[in-house]
Amino acid sequence: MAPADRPLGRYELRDPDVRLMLQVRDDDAAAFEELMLRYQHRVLRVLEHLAPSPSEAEDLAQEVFLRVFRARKSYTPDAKFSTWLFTIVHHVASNARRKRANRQEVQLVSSPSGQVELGGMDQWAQATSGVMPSRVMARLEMREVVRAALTHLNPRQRMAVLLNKFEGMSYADIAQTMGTSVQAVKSLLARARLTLKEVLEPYLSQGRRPRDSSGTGRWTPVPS
Amino acid sequence: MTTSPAANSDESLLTDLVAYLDGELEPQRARRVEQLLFSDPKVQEEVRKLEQSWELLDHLPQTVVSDNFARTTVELVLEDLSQQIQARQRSLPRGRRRWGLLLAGLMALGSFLTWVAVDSLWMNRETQFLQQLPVLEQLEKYEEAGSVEFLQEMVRRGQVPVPDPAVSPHRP
Repeated sequence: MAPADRPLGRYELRDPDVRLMLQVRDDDAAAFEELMLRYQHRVLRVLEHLAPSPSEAEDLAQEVFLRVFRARKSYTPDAKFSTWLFTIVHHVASNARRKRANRQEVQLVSSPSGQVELGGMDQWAQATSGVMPSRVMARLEMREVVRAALTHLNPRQRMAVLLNKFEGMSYADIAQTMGTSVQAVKSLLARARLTLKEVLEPYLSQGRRPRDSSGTGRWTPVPS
Repeated sequence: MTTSPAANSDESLLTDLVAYLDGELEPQRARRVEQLLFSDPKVQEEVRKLEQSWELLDHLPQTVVSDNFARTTVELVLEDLSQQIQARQRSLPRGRRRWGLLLAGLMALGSFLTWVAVDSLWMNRETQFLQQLPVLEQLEKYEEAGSVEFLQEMVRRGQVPVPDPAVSPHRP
């Protein structure tokens, strides 16, 4: 079969980023830089909610682009470029999470107090109280509430939500990115949205902020 | 532990509602959800809350990429590449390694000379532009003049600047 007849060709035709990546495959450094500039915000936006700190998110984003460069010679355009890129993001984030879990295990064993520190909301509230105009406070509070709500999702749910909400990916693309089935993505997103609703509802109705990241995940049945 | 049929049904309805909101539900099931939405205020309320909490995600802070992110990433990539080349060099027999080093040196020299050539060409263009700047600033007047004789008259009266021929890049 001629190369143009293969289904692979359609991604080259439709996706300019696939064409850029093919240039990277041919050792075009400028094309690599262009791709990086196009995607650095998007990659970092997802990793910020998967990594424990902004600096670690940036380190992971660099690792993603390093892997893109390393993988250039074996790149084949059999998906949209963003799908391929976020598959790498998913792998990098998963590996980092596993490493972090191992480290935390070691730290917990060696910690004399055994106390678990809950950062985020409480520290933020103490740091900002009484020093900012109320409108700014409200906006910052909303951000922090939503950020805290995201921590109630498990990492796979969070990844699915971030890809769906911020990357606008279809269920099929999310499934390909996360190496799972469309049905599993449906289920991940349904449970994630239920958790978000349950965590955020008290804030929306009574102004009660979510305090910790122990998600409940049960849906109050809707009688039909 | 087994899940009751009622719980399964709730879960299935939730999955369908969310897929419907995302435009990912098959047409037949989408119609079923629409019928439910039309007839059941509690389902309407549930969908409203799901939508409301989803929209709150728009309030997450904008991502700020540090100024040096691209530069440090390129440095990281170059360092990685250099390590790969060194590792490859180490795995080569000694004679071939020498040829490799020579080749790498020649490539570096070539890159340097190209850079010097491009840089000096760019400098020439900049110098030329600066020299012709007074003429460019008066271009509209020159165009209005229409003839060389008129321009010469204007120069004689000192109403237009004359580029210094001593620094002209086109000087023979």
